[in-house]
Amino acid sequence: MTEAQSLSPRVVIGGLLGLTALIYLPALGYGFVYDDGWTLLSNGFLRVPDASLLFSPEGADKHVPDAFRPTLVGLDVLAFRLLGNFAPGHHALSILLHLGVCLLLARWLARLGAGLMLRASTVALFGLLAIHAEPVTVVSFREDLLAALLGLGACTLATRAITRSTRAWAVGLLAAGLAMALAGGAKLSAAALPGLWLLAELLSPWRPRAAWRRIVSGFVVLQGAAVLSAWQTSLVYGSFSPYGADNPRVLATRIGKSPILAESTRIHVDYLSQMVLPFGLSPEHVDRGAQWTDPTVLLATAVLGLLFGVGGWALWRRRPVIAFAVLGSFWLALPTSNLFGMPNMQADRLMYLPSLAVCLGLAALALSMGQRARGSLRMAPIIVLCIVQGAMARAQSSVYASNATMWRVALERAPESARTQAMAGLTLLRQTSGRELPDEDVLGRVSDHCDRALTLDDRYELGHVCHARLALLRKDWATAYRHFERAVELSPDRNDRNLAALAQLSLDLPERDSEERLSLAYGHLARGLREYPYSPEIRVTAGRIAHRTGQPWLALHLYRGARRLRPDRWETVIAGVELALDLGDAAAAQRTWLQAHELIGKADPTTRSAISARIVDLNRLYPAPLLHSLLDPGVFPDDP
Amino acid sequence: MTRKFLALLVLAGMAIAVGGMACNTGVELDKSDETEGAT
Repeated sequence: MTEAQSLSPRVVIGGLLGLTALIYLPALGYGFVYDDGWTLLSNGFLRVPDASLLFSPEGADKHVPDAFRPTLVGLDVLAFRLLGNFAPGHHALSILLHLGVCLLLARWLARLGAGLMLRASTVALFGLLAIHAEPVTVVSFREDLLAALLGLGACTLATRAITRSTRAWAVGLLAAGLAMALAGGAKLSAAALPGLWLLAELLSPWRPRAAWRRIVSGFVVLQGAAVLSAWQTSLVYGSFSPYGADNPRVLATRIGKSPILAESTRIHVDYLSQMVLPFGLSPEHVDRGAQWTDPTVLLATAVLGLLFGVGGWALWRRRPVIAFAVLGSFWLALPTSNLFGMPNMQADRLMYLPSLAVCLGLAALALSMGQRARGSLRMAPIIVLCIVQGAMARAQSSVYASNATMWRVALERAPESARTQAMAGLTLLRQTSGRELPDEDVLGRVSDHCDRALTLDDRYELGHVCHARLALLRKDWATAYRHFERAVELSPDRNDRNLAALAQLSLDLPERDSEERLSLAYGHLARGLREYPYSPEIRVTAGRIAHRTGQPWLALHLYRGARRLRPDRWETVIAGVELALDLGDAAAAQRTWLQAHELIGKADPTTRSAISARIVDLNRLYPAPLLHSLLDPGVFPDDP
Repeated sequence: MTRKFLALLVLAGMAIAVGGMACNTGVELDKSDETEGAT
């Protein structure tokens, strides 16, 4: 019995999963970053879900986040029911998903007949690959993990099914089809996995090929199921692309496809080099076009052409492992290769699925490099590769520990990105703003970032949002209004906060009379509530304005709605308590204050003291027992 | 053989931890719980 055969596969794979989990364990102490706010924390749809919206154009009209990913939305709804805003729980879920993908990769390779050494090496490399730090550490990027988990599950089920008896074959394929449909519902790029499965079964590197009829039927079921996800996207968005033909965030709509594809050759050589030597990883990359005559583009095209040629040669010369790894990688990279317009040309997370095949290839290469060595040194290449990848994964994961860290690193590694500059400015504002105005040096730095963002790309809305928020701090309402207005014009979505800001600013515009201001404010609110009904921010702002303009019952209705959509915000509770105080209902104010005591504890001391003093004063002037209240049983009756 | 493998895992884990600390960029805490959607 060889040394490898004396090792239990369960011990080996289990040990490797344990090592992978340890690498990402510190993520349990990280917070929410990046898109977590928009897709999770401020996403009221997760708290009052309506599944029918995910299969109709209303989902797009109402700007439901990730409406074209119903499987992901389903997971997020469940996760929020179980975990609420408990960040460690969400990070643990991401780590478990990643471990699940590693396990299923091992299972599928085992079903295909791959030996333990190759399976273990592939799983070790995939689990520790540094380029995976982004999707594993950022909670809102778990769509990549979920799609891979379900997709690999489908591949494993299909591989098992095609070697079984007729009835078990049919049931197995049905289950595989369901899993693949769910995978496509998590992320559209999973639609490439059936092609990988077909390649694996046709090449059959480690066992005799299954019957042709069985393979063809398996592929038809898997691909048909994957196509369902494209159909669901077309139901919601009216096309197979969720981003729209004229989306300004998709650079191809502005400069054409050819420069994008030219730059994409460099991007993919970058990806490959980072999967071999994990340097140059970044939370942000610059979207730009390139010329096909550019020397680096020519070189990248040659490299990719050579690699593809190697895959073709391997196919011809019956070297199935090489063919599977190379051609499989190309195939899996196709959906995110910028052939189809995407708002981000390059992102580490886009390589999660394609790296399945890349890791197999690298593992096979590392094992073959060690074959000439003796004893334990045979494993040296793969061990060194895994240690280097794991160390960089650990370091790269810490970049996503907080927004401040992430945007600082993005500024160092991608200073030419308009988004990086705008976010750096906005993050600096958040880090320094409190009740006092930050000093001029800080405001100057923020202003520089905002200016740079607009210089790099004046059609990207965040540069204007940066200037708008800076103007708010300086109490320059007209400038803030102008920039928020421009941001809303430029941005195809995520305008709820901008519309809320415009509505509030409308009431303070110096050059307009009061009727005009009110009309403007109501116009912005009407649009915000119509287009973003699941946004707690627009609802609480609408409540504030109704409160301010003498419509208390409308304000109450809106505050209650905002609280249902996002119960973790103390601002909504404070707004409700203030409304009760303005109505003279000390009992309701006090009851609500006590019910939400823990949440109100997160408010700043000045606000807490002011409200507390008002409750005391009102009780002293108009004492009323808690049983007598206009708002019974409190401002928010749904609260426990 | 199992013991050798587990020992290898432990050594690899330690090497990864040391390497990760050496390449760490340093972490700053967020002062606000808001995140700005950016992608």
